[in-house]
Amino acid sequence: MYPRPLLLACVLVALLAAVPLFFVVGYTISVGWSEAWRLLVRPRVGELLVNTTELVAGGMASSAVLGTAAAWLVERTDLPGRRVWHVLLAAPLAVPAFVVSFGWVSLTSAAQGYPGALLIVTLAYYPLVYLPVGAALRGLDPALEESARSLGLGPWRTFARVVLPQLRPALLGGALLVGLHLLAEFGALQMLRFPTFTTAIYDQYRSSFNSAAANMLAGVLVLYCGVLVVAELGLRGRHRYARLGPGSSRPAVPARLGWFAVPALAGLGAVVLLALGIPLASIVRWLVVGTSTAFPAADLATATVTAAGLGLAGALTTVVLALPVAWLAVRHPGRIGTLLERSTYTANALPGIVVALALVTVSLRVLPAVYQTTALLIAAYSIMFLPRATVALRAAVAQAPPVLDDVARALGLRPARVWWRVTLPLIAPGVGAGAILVFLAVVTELTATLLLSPTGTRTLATEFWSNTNDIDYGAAAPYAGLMVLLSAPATFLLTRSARRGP
Amino acid sequence: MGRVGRALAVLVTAGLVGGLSACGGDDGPTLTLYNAQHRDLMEVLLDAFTEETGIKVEMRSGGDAELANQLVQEGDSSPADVFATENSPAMTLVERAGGFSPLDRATLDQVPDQYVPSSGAWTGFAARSTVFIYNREQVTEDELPASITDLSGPQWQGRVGVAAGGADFQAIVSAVLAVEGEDATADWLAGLKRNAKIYDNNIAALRAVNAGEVPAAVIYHYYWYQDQAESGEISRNVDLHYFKNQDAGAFLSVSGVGVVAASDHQPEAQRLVSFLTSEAGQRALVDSGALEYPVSGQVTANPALPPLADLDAPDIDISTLNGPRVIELMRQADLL
Amino acid sequence: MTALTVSQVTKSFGATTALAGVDLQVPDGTVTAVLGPSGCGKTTLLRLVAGFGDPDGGTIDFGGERVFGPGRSLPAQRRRVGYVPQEGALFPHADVTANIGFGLPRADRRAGRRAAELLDLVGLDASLAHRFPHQLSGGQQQRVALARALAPRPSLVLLDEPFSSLDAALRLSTARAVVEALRINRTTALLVTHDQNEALSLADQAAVMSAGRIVQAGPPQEIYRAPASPVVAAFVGAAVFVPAVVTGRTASCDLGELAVRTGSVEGAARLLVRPEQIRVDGAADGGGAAAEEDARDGGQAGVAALVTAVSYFGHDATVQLRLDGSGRTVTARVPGNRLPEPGARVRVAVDGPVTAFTAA
Repeated sequence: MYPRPLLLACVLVALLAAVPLFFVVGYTISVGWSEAWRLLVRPRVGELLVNTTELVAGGMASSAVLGTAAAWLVERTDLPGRRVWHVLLAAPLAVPAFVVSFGWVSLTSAAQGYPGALLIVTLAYYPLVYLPVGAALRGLDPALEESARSLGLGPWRTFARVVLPQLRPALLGGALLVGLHLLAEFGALQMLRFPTFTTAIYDQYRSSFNSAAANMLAGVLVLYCGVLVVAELGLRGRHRYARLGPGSSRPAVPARLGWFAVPALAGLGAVVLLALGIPLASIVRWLVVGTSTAFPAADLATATVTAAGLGLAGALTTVVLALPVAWLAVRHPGRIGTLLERSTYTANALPGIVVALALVTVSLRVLPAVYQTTALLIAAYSIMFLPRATVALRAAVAQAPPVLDDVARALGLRPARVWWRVTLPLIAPGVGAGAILVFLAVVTELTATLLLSPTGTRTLATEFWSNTNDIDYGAAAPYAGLMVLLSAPATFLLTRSARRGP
Repeated sequence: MGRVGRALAVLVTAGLVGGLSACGGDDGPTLTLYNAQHRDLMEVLLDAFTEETGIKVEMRSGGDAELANQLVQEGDSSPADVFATENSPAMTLVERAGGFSPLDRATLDQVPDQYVPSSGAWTGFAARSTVFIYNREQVTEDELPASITDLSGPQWQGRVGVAAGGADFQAIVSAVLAVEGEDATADWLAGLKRNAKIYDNNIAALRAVNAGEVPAAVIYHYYWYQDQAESGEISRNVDLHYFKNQDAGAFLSVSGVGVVAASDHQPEAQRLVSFLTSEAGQRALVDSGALEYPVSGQVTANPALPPLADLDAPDIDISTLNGPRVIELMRQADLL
Repeated sequence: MTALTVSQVTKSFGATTALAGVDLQVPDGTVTAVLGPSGCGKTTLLRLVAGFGDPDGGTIDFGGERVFGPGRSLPAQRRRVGYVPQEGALFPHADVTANIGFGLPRADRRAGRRAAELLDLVGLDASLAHRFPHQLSGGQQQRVALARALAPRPSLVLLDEPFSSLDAALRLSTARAVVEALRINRTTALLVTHDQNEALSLADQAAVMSAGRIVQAGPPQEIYRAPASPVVAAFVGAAVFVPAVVTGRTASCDLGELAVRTGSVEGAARLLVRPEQIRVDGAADGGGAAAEEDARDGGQAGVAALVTAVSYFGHDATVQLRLDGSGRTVTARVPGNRLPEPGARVRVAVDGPVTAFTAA
């Protein structure tokens, strides 16, 4: 049933992805119960639990509301300029959360604390809901809504009882992604002085490198993530959401907004202004007026090339590792495939700092030759961002049904030629999308890069962070700007492919 | 896809070219410095070193405690040749783990005894004084605390900022521990947990005091002097208060440097430490504008700074400052 | 000459037996339809012939060449069969010309002449040459899929339910165009379908499959008129079963004395009567004494019956009849222009010989 080399490859990938998790769990066990209890059951951990929960719950809820409302306005109404709005609303993906944070904090310290943190993470992460919900709305058969209307439901009740349940997988999936990102978010929250588990782990790391305390907190974080994932699976339910029956679906007739178009435009304008305008204006302001702005062109160029190179290497490696896993899950569905695929998600729970610390220890003990090499850094990126690539590749492999392989073989093609002439062209867009997602993540990755990169490596993110830490906003601004510039084309390609849909 | 493909190809080429050019031109050993000191300052010092000796140095930056613990964990596999810190507890931590090679006698002779541990495993190369800063609109002179231990009192509730996660403040706590003992320190930290606003680092704390977010904070002196020398943008409303009287709060922290035992380039590493403590190195330190105190008797500090003798620091043996114990106490106080 | 010979092919998936010893011969240049309900194993058979899997036992020969047998299994890409799967499965990343040329050598692909030829052969307009699959209707996609399969001039084409996803009107015209193209090319074809109309109207030979076996193979007319079993009979068309007693070439039953096709059945039997064989005469109308007299008469004039329901289809209609003598209900198919009213009294007779099976 399962081809052996494929299975072997998947098992190896899953094992690699599980290294940090094994490490955290192993560490917890080796610390022993009483010490673990002493480190975990204390007011500080309670405080962090409350903070983290407030932020995750608030951030997921507000991103869900904002993302869904924006998607509905763009996809299903006669709002003027919908194409432009689509690009503008997806554009914050190109602005990393810590740059949004930078934009606000360098303007006013009022952004610090919970309200500021909630606002900023919402502005940074709502596109993770907006994009999938928008895609789901595009794929939704308008006949469903028409049936509901003819059964006597008003527009609001139609939305609540027919549209919303159909959007559930996309909405929950997007919100889960927001939650997982928030659990692992470091830079933005550290700048906002809002301590969560991840920032606390970083503080522990700063004061004692790889300590029991840090690993205990990481263990709590893993459990937290497990709860989120299970809750999402539970809420998603077992319904079928696909359109039933033959025939192609008609495009929906857009809802007429009438006078409501004015507040809708104002609202979307405000979102774009806050999420995109403020950070970008802040970067430009610091570039222009910052007293400490020197323009070290050579340093900037080096950091840009390094970031892009690492992003590229990370993206290629991760996609190559994700391919067998996605292939097995789609082409050989079953318990083993699902298990292997899911096990690559475990690293998603862990912030970069935890993955990096685990790899430091493991590499020093097992393979000192790779310690502080680019290879180990790329491995860390792969572990951290494998889920993004797997999700994209799953969809891609599903675009290449096995019947096409059969046809091609019947036409006389050898298996290798089938792969080259049929499979590859079909999965290429999905592979590209997965690679772009990983590239975006690597370019803005901070903590693992700091810890694992070869001595002397400077990326846009590390230089930005170092300057921001010294409150040298003027010097940080060009790095922030370059990160946005480097991410923008990739993000644009991503929104276009999301718009075209499968 | 075609367009993406082309973009990727361009990036790959750029990455390869960048990577290759980074590899090229290898002549003589390049030292690896694990550096917890300010990067700007260290860059100036290293440039001077390279100019004098032709030896190149790569820097890996981080905090005191993280790099110290990293060195210990790396052990014999450590790629580091030299380790430099902002504060001495991290040096002591590495020393106790046997992570340093003994320094050349000639190097140790360049530095007064008070800045060198009795073992001679490492040496101080710069010093900084603890200082109480306050917003002059929000704190009157008669409110100023006589001792750093007063900051746990109710009058300072919500009115004092500290960078609890940073090595600087942790070194100050280690001085309190050395001067006041463990019980008093634990009580004091519990008071701080109630009173203090936590900042990421000293600059953030200084900025917050200047902006009136918090009336006062405990930091090192040079952050204020540096900003005054540049623009005053984040210290305009801030005045300094030295505790003096051999109070724990008058603690003079020593930045240390030592040769890593695992280093494959011992002679070159010894030369770097020797340079940093030499007259030339100390002069470069003073001229760098970092406004830290030199440790060499042959070089005088920047005239803008108060003479060290006036600060009346407590007499603490730097090799006794206990970093890990401080972390543990701060964890128990829920400050970490 | 036989293009394809399948003998004693077996295949199981785990505990499920898909093929339990299949024997099938497909003569050169003909279209053979494998007809059966879903799950009978017909698609499995097709895939094994194509080489997408190996049988557990048996042999498969193409003309004189053994492609599967003990110690031999030619891989799919070297069997050179044309394969037209359900819903066409055109390559979505290639336009019509590229799809058709997919299996050709690079030089021929470039020239594009063969693609134009085939487009013409399957009855598609040349203007479609550079459309992409999603820009084609379902019927057009199927024709392109056939053109793609025919392009490398395979000796055998396999079609897997090729028309099942099309709607009724399109199905007929597409199927005709496809078979036309196959005949012009003198290509041997094996078509798998669950639709008896498709099988009977398109194929030169029909093979009925049930539970992993071919239960009957032959010309469509023979399968329809003289099915080998009641199961085959019911599967290939509407059937009326009537108990009877057979004596020699005559069967006596509720529908009167009927002529029986040659067979070995003697004594108690089940008769197969096709609904279109039942003739309905309106002469019995009125219910007068003369009519009843006639009805009791029987003979050539048939038996009397009551029309209980009529379903009208335009070109024809089905009429539900209750036979006077036994009260048995039978269904007749009559031309649409000669319809009795429900409640009318009629006379019923049977045209042509019927088939007798031994009573169960």
